[in-house]
Amino acid sequence: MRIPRRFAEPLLRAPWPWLLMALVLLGSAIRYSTFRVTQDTYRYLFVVDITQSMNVADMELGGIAATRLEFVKSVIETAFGSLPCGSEAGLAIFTAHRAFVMFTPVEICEHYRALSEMLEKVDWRMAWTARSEVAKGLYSAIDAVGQIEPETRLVFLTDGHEAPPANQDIRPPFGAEPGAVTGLICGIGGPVPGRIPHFNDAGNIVGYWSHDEVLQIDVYSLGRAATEQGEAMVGIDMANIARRIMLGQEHLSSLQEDHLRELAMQTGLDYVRVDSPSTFVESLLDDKYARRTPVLSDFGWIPATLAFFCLIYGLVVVPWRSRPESVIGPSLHLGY
Amino acid sequence: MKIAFLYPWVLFLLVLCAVPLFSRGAAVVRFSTLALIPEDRISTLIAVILRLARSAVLAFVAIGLSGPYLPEEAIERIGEGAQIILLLDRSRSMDQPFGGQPFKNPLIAGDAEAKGAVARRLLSQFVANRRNDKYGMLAFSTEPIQVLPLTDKTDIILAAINAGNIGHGLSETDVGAGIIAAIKFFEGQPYTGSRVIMLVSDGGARLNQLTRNHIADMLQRYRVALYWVYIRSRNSPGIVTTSPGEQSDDVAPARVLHEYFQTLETPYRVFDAEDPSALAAAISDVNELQSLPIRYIDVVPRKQIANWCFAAAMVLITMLLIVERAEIRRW
Repeated sequence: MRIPRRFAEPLLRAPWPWLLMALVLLGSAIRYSTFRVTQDTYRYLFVVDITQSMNVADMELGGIAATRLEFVKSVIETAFGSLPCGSEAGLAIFTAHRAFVMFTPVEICEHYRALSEMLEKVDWRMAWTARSEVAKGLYSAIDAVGQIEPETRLVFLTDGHEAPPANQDIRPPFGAEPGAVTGLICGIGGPVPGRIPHFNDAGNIVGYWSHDEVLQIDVYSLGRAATEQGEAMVGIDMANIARRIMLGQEHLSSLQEDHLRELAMQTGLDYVRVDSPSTFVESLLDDKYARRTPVLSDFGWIPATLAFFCLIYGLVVVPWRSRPESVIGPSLHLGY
Repeated sequence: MKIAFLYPWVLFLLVLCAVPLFSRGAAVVRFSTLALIPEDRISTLIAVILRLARSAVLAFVAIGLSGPYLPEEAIERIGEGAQIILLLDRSRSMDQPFGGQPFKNPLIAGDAEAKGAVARRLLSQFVANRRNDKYGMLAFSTEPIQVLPLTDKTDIILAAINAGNIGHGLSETDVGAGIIAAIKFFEGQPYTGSRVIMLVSDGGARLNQLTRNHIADMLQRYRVALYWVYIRSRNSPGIVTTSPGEQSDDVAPARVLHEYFQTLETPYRVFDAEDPSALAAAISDVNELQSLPIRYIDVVPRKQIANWCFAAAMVLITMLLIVERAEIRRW
């Protein structure tokens, strides 16, 4: 339907319809502009490997050499700042054969200070036992995630260094259903085996683990400690034990990617090698880990923008259009 | 008061606000000779005001669109509230059944509530009842593990208490190292109010003389009160028994610990988890401690003020509408 010109024109020419419209629009911008929308947020439990191999300084932070643990703390801190508000993060540490949950996930924006302060405090000295059974630790972390709120994803940051070494044939059993808990195994560390430092009470490096200070082969291969020391166990290959011990490199540590990939496949997690904060944040922001949560969002800017255009039209364009055409010709001008 | 903007680039729209200052907004009235109209000061003034109002309307909306807000502010307030360090025993023994409950079959304890669960329930209730306090949290077993820095966010404290439900306890109980680590929370912190260490443990540990002296010394230096929420083990004689007979350390290590704590010159209280009124007593007891008001920093969250801008624009628009309706169009 066409509005007859003689109605439409004066309406368009006068400022008041525009002012009235702006008034209505602004009113709705104030009063009726918040709507429930779904937003992608994330809920992660970050499990930090704090075993001693994480003290190897083969990572880099802003061009400066950093230990794996320092690197991990730094990338998680970046993640706290990069995940959208409404996301939740919990923190756990891994040492020995299990994950110890410090707190279950809490909202990151409101608790940012407490979260980053606590992350800062995470230290290898928190370890209650000096062992690093990564596979068992991962399983216990999966178990822990299963016990906290649903839709929590696991982020397990480790170098994959098993100490004591694992036997390839006798593996710890994985009891849970693969894929029931989703998330990431993040590989931290360099490809070149590095020396693992010893620290004194003050936290200074006083040496490095040497070849004869660590178990070079798995405990099964060492045999049973029965009446006869080193009695062979059934099905365990004990050939060339002395030679295998001699060639052992377990006092050095590098990122065990193959081992972590295998664990990821077995548990239904994803493996990613983290060598910079951006790769870490990118993997965390993956859609498949997102949960859709309703949030109140303010769309007041839409009616307010329209109101602004109405006002511009009513207060700038209309007066300019209706400026008086020169009815007073120069000849009629009185010359005042 | 500072105003900041979410989208400062929108402020370029303010340029447009100048236009009404120079254009003429009123309706055109044709009149034969302008010279006949006398100059009128009031009319001129009204004209100026109207121009300003038109430009202000645009300005308010433009500012409102740029997302103005008052940034969050830290305000120092004086109020009540203590600094409380929760020192939670996470040793293996805390996974065993709590003594203060009836057992249907004294031989079966599988479905009984664990000591750790009782401890977490009590702590959650305590925290929920005292939301104004600042909390830090330590879990201890062989080594003390700091779980939370001092914070006033109740959610994260409850999350930390809740985390204790996941997995088993760790290993041994070293109460001494735990208390010392808890006191160290206060190292280098200004004394802003009552300090309490809330030890939640079954107390199965013995302290050597060196540790004892160290603890007593540090509690005094940092002016910290020690509260012990005692979680009795099953078949344990309890903490405050006056039963005669042998007072062997082996029978009741908790009692020995209690006796040592009583020799402290700093405030010490024990609450028996078995006693239903003990929790209420603990909650109100902290109140009595804090005889001095504490200073704390309260963060006033950022506040969006766009709607105020829009409202101001609406007032001016209403005014302009009235004026416009009152205009004379023709003589």
